[in-house]
Amino acid sequence: MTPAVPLLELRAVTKRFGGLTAVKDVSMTVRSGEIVGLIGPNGAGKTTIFNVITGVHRLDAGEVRIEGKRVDGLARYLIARCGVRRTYQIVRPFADMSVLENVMVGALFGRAEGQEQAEQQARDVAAFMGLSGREDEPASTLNLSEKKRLEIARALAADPKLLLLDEALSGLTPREIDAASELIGRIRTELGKTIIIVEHVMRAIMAISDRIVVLHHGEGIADGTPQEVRRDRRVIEAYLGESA
Amino acid sequence: MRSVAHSLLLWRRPTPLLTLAVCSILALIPLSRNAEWITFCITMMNLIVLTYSLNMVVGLTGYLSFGHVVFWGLGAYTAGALVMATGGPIGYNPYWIVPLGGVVSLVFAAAVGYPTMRLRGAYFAIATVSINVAVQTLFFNLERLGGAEGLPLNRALLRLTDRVTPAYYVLLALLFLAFWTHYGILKGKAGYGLRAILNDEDVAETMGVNATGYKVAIFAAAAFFAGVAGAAWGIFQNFVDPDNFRLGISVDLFVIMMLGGVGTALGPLVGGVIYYVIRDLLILRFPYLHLVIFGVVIVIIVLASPGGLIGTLRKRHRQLRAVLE
Repeated sequence: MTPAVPLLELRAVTKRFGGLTAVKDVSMTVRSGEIVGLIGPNGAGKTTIFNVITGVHRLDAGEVRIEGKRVDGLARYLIARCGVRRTYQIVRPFADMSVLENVMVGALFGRAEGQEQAEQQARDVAAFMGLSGREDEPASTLNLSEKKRLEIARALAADPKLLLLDEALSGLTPREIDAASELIGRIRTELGKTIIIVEHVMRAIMAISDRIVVLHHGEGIADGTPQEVRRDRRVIEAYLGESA
Repeated sequence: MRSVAHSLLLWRRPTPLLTLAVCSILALIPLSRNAEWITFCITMMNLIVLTYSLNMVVGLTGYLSFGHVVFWGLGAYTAGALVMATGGPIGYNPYWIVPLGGVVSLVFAAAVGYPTMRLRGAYFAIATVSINVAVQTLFFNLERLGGAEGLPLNRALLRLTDRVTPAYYVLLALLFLAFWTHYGILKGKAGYGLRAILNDEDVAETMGVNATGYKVAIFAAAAFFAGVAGAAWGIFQNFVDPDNFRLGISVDLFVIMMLGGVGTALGPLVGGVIYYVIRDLLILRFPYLHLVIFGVVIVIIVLASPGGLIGTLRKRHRQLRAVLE
């Protein structure tokens, strides 16, 4: 029996900005159904990895494969059509559009066929993300927690295979974090999505993720279960400094 | 099933209905045989079609196409060149070839748009002005097509008994088609994609929207309408010359567009009719001062309602919002 092709595979990915190497020789694999946490101190290259996967940045070296198919170098919208959607660290909803319209963009440019089906899907996803009753409000009137949920809803409406969440929990209150963590869990169990989540809120990410990948200065320094990673000497050094 | 019911309920939607009503009135005017009215309406419809063309680009993609008249001029010259190619009186009605004027402009817009619509902000606007001036200069120097003196079409159009009525209905049909195109785009999937691009192009792309593709397609479609109008205008005028590329025409287009409401499907029609009526009244009353007064009126209107008439109506009356696309 041949092992299943991983949903996402990064092979020795390197990205430089001028003299700065933001991501250096990083390899990682994500299998269908997993929740993978991507952590690391500020500037470790987490968001750069998302930008590399979604085609925002061109690679300097390495490969990105989705279901075995090489996607690095493809236009952003074509990578999206391979089933990848993301959210943003600093939220970027379509401010002039209503909540429903935002989510409709996701559905229409995802797999929905026709506007009616798209609207139905958008309503369902908005309800799933706890935005019922807010559908007709302009996206700009939502608070941060709602905007983050809107971004997830917009991404989910496309029915993606891979969902990239960039700090979906930061800036939220502890109660909101608990609610959002539970929601992310349900996105996997109920909607069957594969998720990579970049996060600084350690308690939450350790609880949600099946596996954690740790970046430090653009390099992958650990990859394992939350328990393994928590005990890893290099990870502790990266977070707390040499003397710890 | 629901979509069938949807289209049957079209009568409930005042936007297409109002357009249809205005177009029906316009369709009856040639029956009056009043030459003054007919010429007035032809001139007005020509500018309204051009404004629709401009409004698709500015309102739907957010790009300022200051040199938009180039597509009108190319259409006019396409018609002129094709009509004159026979060397003598032509045996068919020359208005049959006006779609070719649109095709030439469409191809030109796609070729020009593909590299320039990746530019952002002012650079695109500057590029369109440069292209407009460059093409105009080319035709100034193209002696085979009359150069600076222009190309009279009399010889070829000798047998054409009625130049006016076909031009009238070509422009009327174009006006309605341009409205429908804009309205359809706004209501459909493309409308969502374009609004997403207007809000945040990078995010739109990572959501699977082919931004460059949409922008170039809209630009090319818009150029088609301008090109057909130009071709019809050239035959109607019996004459094409480099003045068909005059940058100043763009000013009228921008005024009409802003008066009506940028990006709205009704804007160019409403703005165009009001613009022409006001202008006509002012010319009659104040033959020497009319441009000054008109300038002030335009400034006041634009300051008082930045969204144009349609935009302001929509804002003031929430219940009208769904109706006045």
